[in-house]
Amino acid sequence: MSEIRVQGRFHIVYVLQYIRYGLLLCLVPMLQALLRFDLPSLYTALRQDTVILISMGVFSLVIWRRVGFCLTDRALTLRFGLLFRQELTILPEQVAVVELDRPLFLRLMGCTRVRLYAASCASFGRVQCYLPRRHAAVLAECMLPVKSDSSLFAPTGAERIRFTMLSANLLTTAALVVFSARQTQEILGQNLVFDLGQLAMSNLERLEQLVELVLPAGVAWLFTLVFTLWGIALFWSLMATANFRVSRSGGVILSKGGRINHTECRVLASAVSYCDIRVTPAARLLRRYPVFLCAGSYTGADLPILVYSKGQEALLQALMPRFTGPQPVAGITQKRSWPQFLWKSGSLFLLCAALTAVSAWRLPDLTPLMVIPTLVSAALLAVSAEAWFTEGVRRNPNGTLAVCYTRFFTRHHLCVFTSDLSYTSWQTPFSETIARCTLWIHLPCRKRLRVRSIKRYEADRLKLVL
Amino acid sequence: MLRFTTNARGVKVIALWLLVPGAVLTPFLFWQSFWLGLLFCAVWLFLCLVCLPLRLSSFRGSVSLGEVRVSRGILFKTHRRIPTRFVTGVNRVRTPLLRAANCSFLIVYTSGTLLLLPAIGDDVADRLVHVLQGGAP
Repeated sequence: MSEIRVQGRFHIVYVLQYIRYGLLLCLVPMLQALLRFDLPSLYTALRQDTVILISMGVFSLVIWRRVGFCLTDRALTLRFGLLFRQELTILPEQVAVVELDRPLFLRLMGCTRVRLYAASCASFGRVQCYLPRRHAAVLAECMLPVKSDSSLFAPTGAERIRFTMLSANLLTTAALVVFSARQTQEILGQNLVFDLGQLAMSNLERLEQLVELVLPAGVAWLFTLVFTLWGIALFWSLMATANFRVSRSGGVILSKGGRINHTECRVLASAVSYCDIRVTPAARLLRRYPVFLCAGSYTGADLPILVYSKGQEALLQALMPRFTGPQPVAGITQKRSWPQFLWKSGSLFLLCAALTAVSAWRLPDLTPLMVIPTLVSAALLAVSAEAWFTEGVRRNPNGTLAVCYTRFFTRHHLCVFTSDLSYTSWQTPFSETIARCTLWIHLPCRKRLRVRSIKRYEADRLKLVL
Repeated sequence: MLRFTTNARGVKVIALWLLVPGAVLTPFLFWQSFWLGLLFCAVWLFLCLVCLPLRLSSFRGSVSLGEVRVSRGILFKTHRRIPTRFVTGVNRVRTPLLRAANCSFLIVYTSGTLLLLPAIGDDVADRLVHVLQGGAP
């Protein structure tokens, strides 16, 4: 008979996710009122919104009363659903990572967001729930117990600034990518290409004036936005990395920290699939490289687990004893395909260079602006050329797999611990003539790593069964 | 070592499956333009009756030393290697037509990906399922 440690309902914050859908529904009456644009329509819309919110509130409360959890010393059972009841039982040995997040608004309400990641994709994958703080702590302790938290890595002084800068870089990049993607989607939705084409056909001179008028302001706003985002990201990164500690207790790697938003991540060391050392442009300047972990279905958070510099293998080996530092894995580069590495960045560079040349000829005022994308694409070309020399895969003497590959501006050095791998190699008629292939490595987290233009016999020689 | 390849009758069934989406799409294209529909029919038939059988005829597989090895392709060659000890499940699909052709369509699940083995003869499929479930080859 198993002993019940904790049981009960989820935290009341759980209802917010349903009320969020209600808020989206509230937009429909408000949109109607906006189209009519008079006071009676506004009153009607407000009445309808109130009804929607009250209904969603009642509905979410009913759901909240039906869901819950029960933690025994053997398993965690989660109950979901209203009409179709679902019961999920999770055993401690199935869990690879427990992540506890306490953003400011959850801390004020005494709640913790708990995420559990499975050790194998064949089981539940990822589960998220909101629990009272004390219950969340008990849950984490039952799933992945930590006996002592003497820290192995705690960024202080200059180390902390580097750590903060690297995190900010990653967060800013992510924010900019999301922002750019949304903007592009909005612009394409308005059929901009057609409108601009029509405008260009009707009056080329007016278009030129429009560009001259709008572009400098647009670029200025773009830079403002970049620096604002950078500042915000730096601030949040500083808050997130404050009191950051990494330790290992028994078979669990524990990382926790944060000033405003508290985060705690417990990773089962035996479930770690790989550790990824990322050589980003900022990392090249600082000569400190962020390290990310992947375990089971957990593919890593925004924050690196620690910062690695050359000669500090011992630090990572304290966390993961089988870790082997980044080493040259490219092997023989003779007859390696240059076009396979350079066609994207090279095409982009040629396009930007051609546009710069055209602007220098026809619109000299715009030339300084055009130099920026040209320099960026030149840097990308240089990184791609570097990938030609460095990309590769090799088995280390201790049985781990060393992989090096490049994506955009970042070079990844991976030390793959898991033997749950499969390989796919792909050959074009051109690569077949030089006995090379592109290798895809499939990992348990459903991630695929692509290593380009490696020797075919090396790909065949890579051992699957150790 | 257990070697396997595709069955010619099974390949015809798979080609027939691929003809179905083409048959669904064709009326819409004929609705747009007669010549567009005709062109689409020609391209789709070429894909189903020439390209697919050619690609599947190049299919070669084996199970040995704890690995499933599969290669396929004529111009663009693909080779796959999957460790048998991490195979989490095998799904065997047999439609009436496949049964008539004495063939099976196998879907092999591992934790990171899945492997499709189309038009495998029934006798080989039996042995393959046995091996992938931990039996001796």
